[in-house]
Amino acid sequence: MVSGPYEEREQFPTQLKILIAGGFGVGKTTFVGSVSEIPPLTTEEHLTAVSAGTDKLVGIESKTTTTVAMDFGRVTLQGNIKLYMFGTPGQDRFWFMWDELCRGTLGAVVLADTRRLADCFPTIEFFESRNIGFLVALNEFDGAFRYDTEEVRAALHLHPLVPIMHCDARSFDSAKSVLVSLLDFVIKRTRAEAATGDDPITTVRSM
Amino acid sequence: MIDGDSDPELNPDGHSQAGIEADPWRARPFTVTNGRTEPSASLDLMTLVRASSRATPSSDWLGIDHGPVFDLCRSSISVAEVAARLGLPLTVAKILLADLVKLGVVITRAPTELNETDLTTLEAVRDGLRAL
Repeated sequence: MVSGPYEEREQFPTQLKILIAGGFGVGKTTFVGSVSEIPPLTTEEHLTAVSAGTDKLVGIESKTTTTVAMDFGRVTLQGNIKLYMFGTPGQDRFWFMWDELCRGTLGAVVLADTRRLADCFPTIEFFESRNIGFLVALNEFDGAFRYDTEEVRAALHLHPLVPIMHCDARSFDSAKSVLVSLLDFVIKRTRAEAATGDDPITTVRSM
Repeated sequence: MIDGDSDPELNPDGHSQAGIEADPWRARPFTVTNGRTEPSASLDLMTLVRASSRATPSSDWLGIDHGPVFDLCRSSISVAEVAARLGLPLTVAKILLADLVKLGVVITRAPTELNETDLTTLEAVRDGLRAL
């Protein structure tokens, strides 16, 4: 049944991940699908009594099982790097999953819909508290008013150094440029941190 | 598998032929895992798993639930992908994979640990993305 001997020393790829976060229906799966080389896959986790301690069940007390769906895709980059993109549910009641998701992440894209900006507040607060590098990408929906990025920055109380940009989650080029911008930001932040020993986001003046 | 029909929790009768065919995992998750809720080996979403070169599938250990999992491991694949491709809840996939790891027929490779200051890797990712 085994098709042939495997080379145990086969070169394993470098595997890294980026989180694509944001509220429900903001375009996370679309974003992942635009860049991914495979159609986005869905994994589920069942939320049961085990997680009751961390999961707020107010209002759904009668519900014993909740299924959390999480989409992901991947793209192979030169140098045998596999970059995974996990589209993560932004609701705070799913945060029991986030410890694992955040472990070792390169950074995060917070997708926002300007018509429902408040949806991404908890996500932003979460990444800020965990010191995870993120940027905000405003997914452009047809017919939605296009706000200036600085207006949105003010509305989100976003740190001046956190990048904020427009994007079209349906477009490969647009999604790709968001990811490149995220990496640029993380690299800049890492350099500044190495130079000063401080995190530029918590100590603005040092940069 | 996120549609309700394929969820064993939502399909308690399981008698309809269509339902059975649509869902190879018609047992409840705790049945598949033999009541266990924690995998016996630590597996991350991105841990790569692969069948060991010495592994020969044997009916001794290749249970009905382990078979499809082992088949997917013939080339290296992430834990998340195994779960997604089989439509299994993550924890269930992890428990089944951990069994195979314990038997020594599947080997694992933990995800790349990124040093916070690993600029070389960060730059490689950025340049790789740009080159897409």
